[in-house]
Amino acid sequence: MSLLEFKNVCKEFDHKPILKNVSFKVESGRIVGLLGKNGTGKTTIIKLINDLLTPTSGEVLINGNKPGIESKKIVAYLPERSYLDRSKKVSQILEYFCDFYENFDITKARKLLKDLGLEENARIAKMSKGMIEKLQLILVMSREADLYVLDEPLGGVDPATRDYILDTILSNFKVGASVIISTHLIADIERILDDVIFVDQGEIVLVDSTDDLREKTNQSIDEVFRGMFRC
Amino acid sequence: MLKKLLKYDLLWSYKLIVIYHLLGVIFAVVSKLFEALPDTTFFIVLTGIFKGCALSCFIPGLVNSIIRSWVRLINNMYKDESHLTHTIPVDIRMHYLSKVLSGIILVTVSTLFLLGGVALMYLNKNSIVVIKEYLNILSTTMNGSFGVLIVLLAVVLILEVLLITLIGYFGIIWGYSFNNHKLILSIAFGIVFHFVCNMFTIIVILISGLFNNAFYKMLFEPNAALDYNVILMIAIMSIVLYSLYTILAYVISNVKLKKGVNID
Repeated sequence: MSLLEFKNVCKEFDHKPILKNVSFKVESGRIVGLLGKNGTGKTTIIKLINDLLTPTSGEVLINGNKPGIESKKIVAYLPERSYLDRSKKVSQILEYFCDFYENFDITKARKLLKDLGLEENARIAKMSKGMIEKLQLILVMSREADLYVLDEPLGGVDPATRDYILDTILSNFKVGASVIISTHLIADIERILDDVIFVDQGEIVLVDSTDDLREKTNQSIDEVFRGMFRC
Repeated sequence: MLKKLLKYDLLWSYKLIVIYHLLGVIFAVVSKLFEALPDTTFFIVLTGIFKGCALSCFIPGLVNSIIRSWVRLINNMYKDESHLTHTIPVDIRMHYLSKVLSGIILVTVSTLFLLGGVALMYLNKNSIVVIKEYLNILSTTMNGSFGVLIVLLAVVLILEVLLITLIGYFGIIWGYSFNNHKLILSIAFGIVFHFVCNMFTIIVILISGLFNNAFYKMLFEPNAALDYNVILMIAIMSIVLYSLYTILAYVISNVKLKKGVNID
């Protein structure tokens, strides 16, 4: 049984197709890049995994279950936007995560906060966008999840911090877990990817392992992407 | 899990409302203290000002309790925060139940503060005697206990406020299931539900009039005398209907939520 499976998933908004017959599998222990231009359906796929959207047709299975309470226990999700209550302090957010996620490791979260120079007493409303993104990443990576779903984790971060974030992801996810990273900043992440899924206009156009793809095309993943999606 | 959700929902909603309640109580107590002072024009005016201030805290406190309950539902279940709300391992109906319970608690507390504040400011030895006499006259004239009626009408008032809160939730859940014009649709759904409830109430009253002569006379004949039993019947009927509508709004919203959400 695959950790994640999309079976002929279609999603429409106001009768406009956003995803067309999407099918793919993600096995345990893989780091997968969900790659595509802006507005091609990457975030829709991620929202379907996280039960934030319901498919128009088809099926999403996580460890054999449809998205629900059981899947939410094992999926750690980092959205591309700030999802924290701005009136709260960092310490209150930690308490919230402790209350609702059994697999949240508060000691690890505190250590990561210290490493990234974030204070527990800081109020979210007073933090910059970059700081909030770092905090959200810490919260997600402090869970002992089976599947980490990261939507544009490098979006609002300066290039110097990107490597640090990628290292944080690499050194903190549970052994044997899988990571799905959605991004269009391919050059920055291709060194850590095991597999890639290319999405274009709501369809999966390529699923392959990065090593095989490099070997077949004799190009980097970034070059393959640029060649495939040239405007 | 419900306890934990309720803790966060109540904290979020009540942290602003508590200011209204605290200020209201302070103004009400100060007005009461000034009332004890000699009856000079200055103190009478000052007492009136403080009573006005207290009311202008208690009434907006109640209105804001309803609005803040709705805002909590929108922010927590449909805006940015929803990306966290819907990804914690909790059933969506549990989230909704927590919102409903926190709304009920908040609105009931605010209503009680309003009623308690009014009682504190306006009830004194003289007014209690006047009210008692007036109630005795009404009870004798109408041949029934007016105290019971007042309690029933207070229950109707609280149920009506709760129904408004629940209709707001209903409208939001249905309005936000669409992709566009969510807020306008939320208001529209709320108004339509309220309208349907009112139409149903009118139909029930008309049907009741057909079977009860006293009821028909009081409602439809000009200059008809007030009938205690009919008023009692209307109060009980209102309690039954408001309870029914509240449960209906809750159940229909739950059915909608069970089908899943669509978060932008």
